[in-house]
Amino acid sequence: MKNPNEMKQTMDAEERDFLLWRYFHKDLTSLELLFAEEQLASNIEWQEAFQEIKIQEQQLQLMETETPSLRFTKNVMESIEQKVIARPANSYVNKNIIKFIGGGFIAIVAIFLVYAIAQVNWVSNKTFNINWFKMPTVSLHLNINMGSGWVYGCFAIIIVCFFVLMDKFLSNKRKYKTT
Amino acid sequence: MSAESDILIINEVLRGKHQAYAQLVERYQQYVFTLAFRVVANREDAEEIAQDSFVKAYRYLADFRQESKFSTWLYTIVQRNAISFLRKKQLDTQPIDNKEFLIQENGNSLNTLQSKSDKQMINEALSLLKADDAAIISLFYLQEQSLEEIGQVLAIETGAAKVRLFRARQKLKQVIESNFVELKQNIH
Repeated sequence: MKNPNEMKQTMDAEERDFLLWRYFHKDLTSLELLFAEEQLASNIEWQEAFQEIKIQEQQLQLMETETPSLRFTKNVMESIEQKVIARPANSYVNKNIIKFIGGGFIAIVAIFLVYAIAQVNWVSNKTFNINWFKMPTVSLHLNINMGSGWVYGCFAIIIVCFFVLMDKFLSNKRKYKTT
Repeated sequence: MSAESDILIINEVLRGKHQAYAQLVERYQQYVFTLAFRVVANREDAEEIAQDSFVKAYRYLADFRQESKFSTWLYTIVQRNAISFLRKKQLDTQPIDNKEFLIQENGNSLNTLQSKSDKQMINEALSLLKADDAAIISLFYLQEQSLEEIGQVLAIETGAAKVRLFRARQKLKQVIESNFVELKQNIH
């Protein structure tokens, strides 16, 4: 927050108008208010600028709404007759699924931390030797004979889970649309 | 217009009395239409957007969580609808920067302008602004939305809404000075 003297030295016409406009809308901090009132009491330029802002604000208050066609309400009411109010979004987002995903994420982080801490060489007191980055290498060779079986098993489970969840999601959506 | 009575009507509609929605349409149709009109600058398109906004608001009425005013929520729908309509149609909204906002000065148009009131001058000047600027001015001065509510409608921070509103107002002043100087002098 600038003090009044700094404000006076660095303020250009646009900043002055912005301050005066905020003054008009009673949106100033106590320091700014003090400064604006001081300037308005002593500075003719500020008084003229404020007068102009007041006139413009009065003009803007005169703004009028546009009117749509006479049939507008009737058209809207006819359109909504064929519509059904949708269920609120939070009723079909299953909180248990979100909790399950969150829990899984936390579990992965926890397992990683436990594994990483277990890799620290606590014995050596001269050099603090951390083997954190030496994670076990996983063979992703497509050759089934070469690769490790559990990796393919995991992939298969993930793919099956994905299809099951996708099917559940789409059938729920279909059911929701028809109700 | 009170927020409390809006809530009463909404609860009635949610209980199945869908005819009550007509009261909300009657209440806000001019504001919704004006906001859409300020963005697309075409009456037919604005009416289509306004109508579609009311239908969308009805369809998702159960999602209105009553944390803000109904009008703020409704204007958010209108603003998004109007912007996506503009994107689809890629309308030329005559931005102020391309200097096309100057009205051609011939004898007739100047005389016509001079016969107009302040209200008409403001409305005409607004139609020469960029869609975003015209919308923010309408929201603040016409729809009487607070800066915080305007921030919600436009998905920006309150401080940013304040600065954007002030700049839009400055551009409006520039448009008025460029096109309506003689009229202004006659009035004041």
